[in-house]
Amino acid sequence: MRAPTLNWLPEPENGRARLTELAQRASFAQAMELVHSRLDFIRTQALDQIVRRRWPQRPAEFNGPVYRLALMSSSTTAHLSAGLRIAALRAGLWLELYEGGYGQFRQELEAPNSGLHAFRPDGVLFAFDAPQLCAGLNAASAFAEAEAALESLRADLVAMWRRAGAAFGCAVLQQTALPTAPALLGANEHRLPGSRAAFIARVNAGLREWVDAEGVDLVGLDAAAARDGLNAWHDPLLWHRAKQDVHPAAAPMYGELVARILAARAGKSRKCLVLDLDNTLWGGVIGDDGLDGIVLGQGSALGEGFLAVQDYALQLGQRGIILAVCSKNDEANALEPFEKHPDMALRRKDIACFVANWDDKADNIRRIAQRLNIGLDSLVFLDDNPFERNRVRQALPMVAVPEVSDEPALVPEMLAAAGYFEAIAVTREDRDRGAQYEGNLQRETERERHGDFGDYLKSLGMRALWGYFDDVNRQRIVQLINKTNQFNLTTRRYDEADYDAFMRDGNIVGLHLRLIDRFGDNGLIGVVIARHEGAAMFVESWLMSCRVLGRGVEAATLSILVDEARRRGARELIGEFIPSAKNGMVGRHYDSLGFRLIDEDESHRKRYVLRVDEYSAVGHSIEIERGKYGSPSENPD
Amino acid sequence: MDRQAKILTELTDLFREIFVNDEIVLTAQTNAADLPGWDSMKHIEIIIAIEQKYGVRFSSRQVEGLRSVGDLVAVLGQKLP
Repeated sequence: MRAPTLNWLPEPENGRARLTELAQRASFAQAMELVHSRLDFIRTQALDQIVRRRWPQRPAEFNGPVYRLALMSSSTTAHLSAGLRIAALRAGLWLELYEGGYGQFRQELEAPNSGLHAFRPDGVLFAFDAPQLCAGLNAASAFAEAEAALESLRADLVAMWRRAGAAFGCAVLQQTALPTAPALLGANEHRLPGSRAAFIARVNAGLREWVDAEGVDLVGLDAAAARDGLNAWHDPLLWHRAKQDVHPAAAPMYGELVARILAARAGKSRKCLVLDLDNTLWGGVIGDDGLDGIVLGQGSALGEGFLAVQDYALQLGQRGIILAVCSKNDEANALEPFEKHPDMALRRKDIACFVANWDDKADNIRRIAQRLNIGLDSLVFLDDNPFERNRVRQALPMVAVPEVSDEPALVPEMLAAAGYFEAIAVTREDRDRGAQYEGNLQRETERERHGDFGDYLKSLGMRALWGYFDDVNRQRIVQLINKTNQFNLTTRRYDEADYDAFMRDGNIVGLHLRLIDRFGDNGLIGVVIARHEGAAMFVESWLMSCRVLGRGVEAATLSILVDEARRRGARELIGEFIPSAKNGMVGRHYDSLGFRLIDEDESHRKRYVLRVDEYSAVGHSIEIERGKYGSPSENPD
Repeated sequence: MDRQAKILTELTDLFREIFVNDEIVLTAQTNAADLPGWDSMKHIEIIIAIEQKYGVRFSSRQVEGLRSVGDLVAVLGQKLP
């Protein structure tokens, strides 16, 4: 049995001494350093115990939210709670955990006076073992009976998900089953309909379809077991000794798999991969070895390994992760392979922000975040050099810096295992994002060429296409609502069910906005939700992608809102600003749009008013059009 | 140092790590009642930690027969080359 390890995290120096110190006096910041290091299950247990004893409540130094997770399991889970809590800390969440009595999930869900109902979870995770899922199955069953058993299981699971969703309005997670049932036929097990092994395989395949229609997210234990080996995840002795379906030594990784889904739902997944060049994307040093001397691609195992790293990065780019380069090199040297080396998988156009100079990498990474308009906590920095990794970890602890094997062939799997980019849905915007950021940088260059910024904006030929909330854009709008942290006036999060309720509510005005310019389509970048009540329209949410910051989109959006208020006969717009750790950039949003401050409370929450008849258009260079269709791809223009 | 004493010293070190307590001193007579926090869940952790440390595997019979640290040392003594 080799336990799954968190091998992308750095080995803690003097881990044991630091745990002992933490038990007595070390600070919470020191606890977080241990959280971000490679701990086995023993140390994870120890750390969790210490943290809970010394900080029973979320301490002020921890700026992530409290998350209340209920674990509804058919087997023992007490040995998993430390792994869950520590992984949640790593993902920026303070986990409060409720464990239903083992096997009590059904009663807990149904009885309104149960502990589960009193707990009021933000999320419920259903975790069922193979014996539970196969209950009643007979190896001699005919195909029709197995089929009926599968259908009845599906109906049962769906009913539980809906029950949990309806009772708590919370996120619902379902764990896939560890394939622990031994085979009866062998490689062609699927030909025996009543086989438990075959049934679990069908359940795990079925779950992938069932959850999609229900807005439930999966925790992929079966995939993890396929990667690490079932023996790393499950021990029949422990199943019989303590009804532990998941091996205690796998608890830290189990916690990771769950926590990263919670983080993805909270919009905390990473968005950008920053790549070093020499000995990370190719072997050797381009400035010393030259174009012919670096090791890449055909002809050597090492070169093929580096190509595999590039190819994996390219695929991440294709699915919406922004790629950047941060290298200590002369820029001309650094660019040369991207332009001239025949074996490169990555080309200059794939890199949204390319920084090659001799400055401190921490400074350069700050610049990259600024130029791309994303938070430092959205970045992952990949560098083979331990000096640079540690420098960045120390200067910018919010940047994820994985360990990098000196064997490039192992890097893609390590990056995947780290789960930095865990996502629960993929939208068309995700797939186009690389191209959008690339367009952004072309615009940057134009800006440098144009002296006058106003002239520059006019030259972009911007058009805003707006529309009301509709079915076509549901996924993208809900995604934007849940992951926009910076340009977000109130940071209110809504799920698809809320969205549907908004669409049905005649007093709710839900607007979305798409920005197009001569460099391309920026995608759906703005969302406003307002409630019309009597003479006023209350702007409850206003958010925008930072990609289009500083281009007058706010002013254009306001003019759409004012038109809407006039059409409905509302006389004033009421705006609201709720400060968060990340939305300081919109602290003066309403002031700059000509709203008047009504009041401000001690938490600096502000309310503003704008009288519609006093509105005077704030200047911008955007042509506003009512979009006829959901997306321009269906709207030839 | 004889073999049993050596194992006892190593186990003491392992227990100190598991319980984050450098004061722990194991004897052959030490049992679950002597160490606060040594419950059934911790017991499983201890067994796994020992299995990992020594690269051995206890059978269900052996685990069920354990009553004290002395029993642990004896079983380990049989398993180690």
